[in-house]
Amino acid sequence: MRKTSDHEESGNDVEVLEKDREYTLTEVCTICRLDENGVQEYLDYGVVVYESSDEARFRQSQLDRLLRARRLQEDLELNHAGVALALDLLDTIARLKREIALLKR
Amino acid sequence: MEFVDYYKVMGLEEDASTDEIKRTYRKLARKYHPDVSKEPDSEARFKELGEAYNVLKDADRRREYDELKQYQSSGAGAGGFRPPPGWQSRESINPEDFSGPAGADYSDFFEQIFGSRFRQQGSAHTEQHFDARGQDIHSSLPVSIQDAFNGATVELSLSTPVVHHDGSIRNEQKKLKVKVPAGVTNGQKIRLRGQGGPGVGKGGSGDLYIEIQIREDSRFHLDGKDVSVSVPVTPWEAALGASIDVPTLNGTVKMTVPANARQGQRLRLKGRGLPGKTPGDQYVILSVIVPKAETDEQKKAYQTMSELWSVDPRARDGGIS
Repeated sequence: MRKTSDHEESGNDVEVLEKDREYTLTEVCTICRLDENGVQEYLDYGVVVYESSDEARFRQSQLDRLLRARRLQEDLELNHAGVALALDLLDTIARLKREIALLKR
Repeated sequence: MEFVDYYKVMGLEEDASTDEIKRTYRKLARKYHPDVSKEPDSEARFKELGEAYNVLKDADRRREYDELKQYQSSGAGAGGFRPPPGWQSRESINPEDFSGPAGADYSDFFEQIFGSRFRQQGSAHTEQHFDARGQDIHSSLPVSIQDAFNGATVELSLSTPVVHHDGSIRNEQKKLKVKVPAGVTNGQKIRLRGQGGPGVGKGGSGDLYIEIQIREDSRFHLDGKDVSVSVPVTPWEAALGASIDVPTLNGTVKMTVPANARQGQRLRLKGRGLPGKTPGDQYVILSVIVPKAETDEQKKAYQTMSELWSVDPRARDGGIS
């Protein structure tokens, strides 16, 4: 059993994750609990893209996007096309908000 | 323990139909989903909503809840809610059945009413003995731009699963001091090994992933590692050039404004942004202010200027001649 105290020092084991870390298809499958066909479906709908080299490599941002898509789908009962649209619209809103913030300065 | 009014949470009347409940849940879920909403309390809101829906959508569970609600409003719940003596839910919650935020993340109130059977199921599992690594926890941490520059120890409170004596896993609020390294950028993720959910058997604890959210600052604006700051200058400083004081994240520094500087011109202070292998730069955006002409002498000075320049700022080419 783990004891919970009011404060726990995180100590020196803080690891800054590289922003541009890349993941293999197998890693993405494990993290997102999908099989290869499952990931392929998201690729087909343009929810995520991978870096084209000799092997499919997914950037951190794409992995985050896929996880987000999975959560939204599960919680809001969306199909692939619906979640693709939702993510695109959320991106657009975020971009517009940034532009407005810039203009307001 | 506070009695949670699930009807209020969903903004519904007590005689709402099942269809109405479903419709309202779907609508509110879209609004408060933490991946959609940017409200700081959306996560808590969404969790509460999922719980309310989980109870109200099921006719049997709802009947039980209504009974308790009546018991509560009869005045039995003064000074916090406690279920009637000997209360045992006839309904158990099947985790598969739980549509709402993923995972067994229930409030104390929910646990107290519907949790007992679910817990029994949980401990039956552990008797078969298996090892599993604890779940990874994802959280976010707001930090000031100054802390991102200097590095700091910031307190994070998060709800984390804790294993209790009876083998049940419940969420508890935990405060954790997180060392934020200098030079983190907005959206950067850091990992604290072993600070996630507890493992089962020989499985180790999961990790805690924290996304850094740098708070908006009234003076400094961030773009990756670059910082920009708007600095007001007088028309003569802009025209003649000047040495002015500008704020940086590391204190005030002197900067040379070149002669004939323009409104909105961006000047770069190399390496004055967030630190790192390649530190960011600071951009100073000049904002020319127009001093009011108040005394006769000042008015005369503006008059003289109008005679010396023939500028039509409304002309198509900007009119600078």
